[in-house]
Amino acid sequence: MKKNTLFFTTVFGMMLLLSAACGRFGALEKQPEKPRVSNDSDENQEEVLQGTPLNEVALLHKLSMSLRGQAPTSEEYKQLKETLSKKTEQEFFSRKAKEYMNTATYRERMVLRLEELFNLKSSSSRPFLFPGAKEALPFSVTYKQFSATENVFRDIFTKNLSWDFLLNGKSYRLPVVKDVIYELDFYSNVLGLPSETREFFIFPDANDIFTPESYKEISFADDDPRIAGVLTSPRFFERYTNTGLNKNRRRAAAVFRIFLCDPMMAAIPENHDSKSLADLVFPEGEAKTETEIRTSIDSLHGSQPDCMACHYKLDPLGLGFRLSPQLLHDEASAGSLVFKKSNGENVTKSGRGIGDIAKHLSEQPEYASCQVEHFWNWFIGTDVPIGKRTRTELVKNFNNVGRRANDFIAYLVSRPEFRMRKSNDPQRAMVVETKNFLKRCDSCHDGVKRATGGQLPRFATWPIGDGSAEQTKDWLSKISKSLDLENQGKNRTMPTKEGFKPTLVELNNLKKWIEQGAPDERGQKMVSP
Amino acid sequence: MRLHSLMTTGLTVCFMTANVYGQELRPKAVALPVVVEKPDQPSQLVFPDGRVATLMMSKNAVEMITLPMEITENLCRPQAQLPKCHYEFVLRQETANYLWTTHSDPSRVGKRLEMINGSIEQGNYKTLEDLSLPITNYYRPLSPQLDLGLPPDRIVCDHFAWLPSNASTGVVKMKIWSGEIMFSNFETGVNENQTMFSYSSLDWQLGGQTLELKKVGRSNSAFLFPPLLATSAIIFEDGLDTCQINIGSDIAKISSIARSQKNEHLVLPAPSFVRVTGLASNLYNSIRFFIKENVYTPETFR
Repeated sequence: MKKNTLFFTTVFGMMLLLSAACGRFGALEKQPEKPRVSNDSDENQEEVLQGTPLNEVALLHKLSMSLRGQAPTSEEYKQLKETLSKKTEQEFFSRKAKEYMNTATYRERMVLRLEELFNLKSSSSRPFLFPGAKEALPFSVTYKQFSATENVFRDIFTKNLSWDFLLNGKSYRLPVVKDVIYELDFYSNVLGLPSETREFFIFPDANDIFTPESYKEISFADDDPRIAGVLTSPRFFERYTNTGLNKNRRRAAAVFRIFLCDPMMAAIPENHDSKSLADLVFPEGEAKTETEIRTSIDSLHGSQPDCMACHYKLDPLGLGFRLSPQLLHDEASAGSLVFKKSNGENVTKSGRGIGDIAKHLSEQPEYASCQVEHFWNWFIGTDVPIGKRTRTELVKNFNNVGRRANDFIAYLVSRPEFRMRKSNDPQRAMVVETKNFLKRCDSCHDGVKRATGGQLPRFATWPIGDGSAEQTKDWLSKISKSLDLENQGKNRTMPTKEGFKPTLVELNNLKKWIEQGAPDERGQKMVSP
Repeated sequence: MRLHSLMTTGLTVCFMTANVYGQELRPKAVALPVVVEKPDQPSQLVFPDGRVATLMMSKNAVEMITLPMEITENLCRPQAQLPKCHYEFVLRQETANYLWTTHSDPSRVGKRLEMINGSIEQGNYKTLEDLSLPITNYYRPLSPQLDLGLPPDRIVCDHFAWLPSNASTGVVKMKIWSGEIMFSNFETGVNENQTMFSYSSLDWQLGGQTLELKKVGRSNSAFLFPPLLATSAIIFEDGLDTCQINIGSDIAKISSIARSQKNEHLVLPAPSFVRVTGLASNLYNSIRFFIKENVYTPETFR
């Protein structure tokens, strides 16, 4: 029975898709008009939707795949056909989005997206999604899927909580297995548990299948300055570990990256992109003493004024974690949120602890703008630029729905951009790649004063400089020389050896883009080729 | 937690391979022995047939070990001259294991618990691996009321101008002292230096050329040594603020001293802070596996 249903669903679904592609699906034959939005973009130009719009069948397929990772059933296609005849498709898609968001597959897909955003390790088998997985692969099921961190993610989508819960959440669900509360150790100090009752080495028995029988909920006061959602959860601490030397800058950098979309291409790299410096400081296969590491880093920092472009932000935020290098400390540690807005205005917000700092962060317009970008990237695509007016609309709606994740996603998938078919234009892909590359340059140069006075322009904000063709051309020439694009970067001076190492593909891509007159996403050239 | 999780998993798997796979698993429901760890009482293994084994400990002399202590970064008093310091650390290296305290065979009372080695038919037994128990002042948070019989640890320096400015009051407060080791990041798998254990609310009395350990408020690990690894960081209380000093040292010599202790005569009931269920040890791993349904029989232990 199940096999028959599956077969029918698959065949029917394929037929519908094929029909849709050929434009032969009765009532769906009429293609919707290509929507145009007369908004101003970053460059005060008309925002035009890229690509061609999907018809209703393809839209239902995309909606289902995007939200729950599986194709619609044949029954749903039938419902769609009926809906179209009644011209109630808008209500139908809205209802379907809500229905899909009520599924476990949607919830777990979102948890996976958040794991990726936080650069956490994903597990290959997910019993939350596939209950049989733990029986089939007991040794590959880890506690991670049941951890407090993942439960914060999960609760946001299960309970349609505000996205700010990531920063401002004050409650956690800890897995309980055989009467043992896992991860309680991490919170034992803030819960005031006496040391003598603590169990330091709680771990799943290698012979047991780790399946929590229940969850222990712990919660803290709404204004508790020691607690800050995911930032004070075990896996965040395990992922972004600390040392006396690092002084919680790694954690601070993750906060800036995730919540303010500041890529933080630090001189001391956290990720694997900035390999050259990592090799310099931590040579492969070579042990180094603390003193040696310190000496090399100090000398690198001493010669790198660009380092301060990050440290002025990282150090004050790192202080918020100061007393909690490994587990949460029973006292809060004062720190500050410090950053520079794109208009040059300085933001400095002090807090009694990381909880206060996280709250300040969630109140910044830059935070909201960054978070809608994550959703945009997940549901519309990283290759589709967000124009200025669109971003404003997104933020407005993000706030209007109380920042509740599901409600905002429902809004996002109802937007015309979601309905657009992905562009396969290589020219456009080149432009997007170039912009992303230049954003990495901005992450280090932003806010750094030039020796000749003034600040460098943002290279990923086009046109570069004051908007004049002359200045843009001048900057493109400087970029080309600094990266030695003529010689495929052989004698490049930027990025410095302490920064990221551009690949040959990236350099060639940039060269081609400049040679073509530095076109934007709409193909409009900044300068004559 | 992570280090021991991995170690224990590995040890358990090895143990299974060596001792269990040759046996026939018995699909029957039997009453099982339990580890009982009541407050203020030594750990006990209580068997359904009335036998009881109690965790007993040796009683060795106190050793004093001198460890190097170098200040590598001082953010409390950056201008202060670097001092010459060392750390005087006191240790009693003890051994513990389960001895029979109630047994139907009186000749077994006072003897170490033995566990089946190989098949039951062969009848070979072996004693459980002793639990190594280095007793230090860092045990204090686990059992604040218990007299460990140890003099205080001391930090000895040629001067203390490097301490935070409020240290002149006599009591020096460390908010947290954390030690680092190179270990694989649990999320990325990349080896990196990271904080693996820490103690908080440490009070020291300043007098002459020494700082004397008065209190260890909380322990955030079960290592229970001063965190004098190659690198460690101390966050001092500095008035209403805090400041950080990084330390370089070498605790490796402790392990060689610990190994040199040979007295394994178990004469005292182990104090209640010694909880085998909370320590990753071969002792508990062995017991834990064999007191399971389908594995345990009355002949498993003797």
